[in-house]
Amino acid sequence: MRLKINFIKFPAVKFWDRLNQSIFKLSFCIFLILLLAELVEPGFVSNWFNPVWLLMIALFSGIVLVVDN
Amino acid sequence: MKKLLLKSIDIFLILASVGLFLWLFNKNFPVGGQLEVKAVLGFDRPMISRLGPDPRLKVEDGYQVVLDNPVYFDLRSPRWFNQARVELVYKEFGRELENMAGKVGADWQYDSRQAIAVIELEDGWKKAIFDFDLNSMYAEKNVRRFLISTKGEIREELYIKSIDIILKR
Repeated sequence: MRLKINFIKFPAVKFWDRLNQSIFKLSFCIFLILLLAELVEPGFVSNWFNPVWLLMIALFSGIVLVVDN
Repeated sequence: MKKLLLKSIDIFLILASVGLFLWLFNKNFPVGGQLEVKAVLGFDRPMISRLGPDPRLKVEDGYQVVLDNPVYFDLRSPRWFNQARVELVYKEFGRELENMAGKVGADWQYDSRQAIAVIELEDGWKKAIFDFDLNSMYAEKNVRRFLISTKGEIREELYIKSIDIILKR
């Protein structure tokens, strides 16, 4: 008879939760950095790209995170 | 396996963010040292506004028609650009292009400039080129106002085909 002993128990990785967290953290941080750049130099970001899209992604993933937990 | 995939996705997202920053940097500090801005006639763009005020203008067949004097547009340019070359392609239907001016003070203070060159194009179209020193202009949050001055009677018109601005350091 063979005994199977698992000394270290790794927590199961919740793939979508973890992915959602990464997306939330990254998009929110980048949004903040771009917002700061825009405040320092008006037009630096918004002349080329609308940073509100990043905020919307962060908001959406944040809401999903809160609802899931 | 899942962890490896998550790590790969994390790395991809970080690389995409770095790419976004590099792209923005390249857009704001172009390698050639000059940046070309094209107006979309009748529409506001992030860097250049449409011509105003509305009662003095109309859009016809894709051209901006100037009905009265003066008209203006706003340019939002990064502060490290010192000079602006404005290229105006227009056709006179009775109304003549007089000059362009840049706003230099908070109130109605404009510094008018004559075209440094007027080039005759096909079918009666002309291209006028104006140079402006952006440092001497009045800026509100990087926004500078340019005035287009025309001369003519009420029903006379001036058609504008394009407004291109070349910003230089």
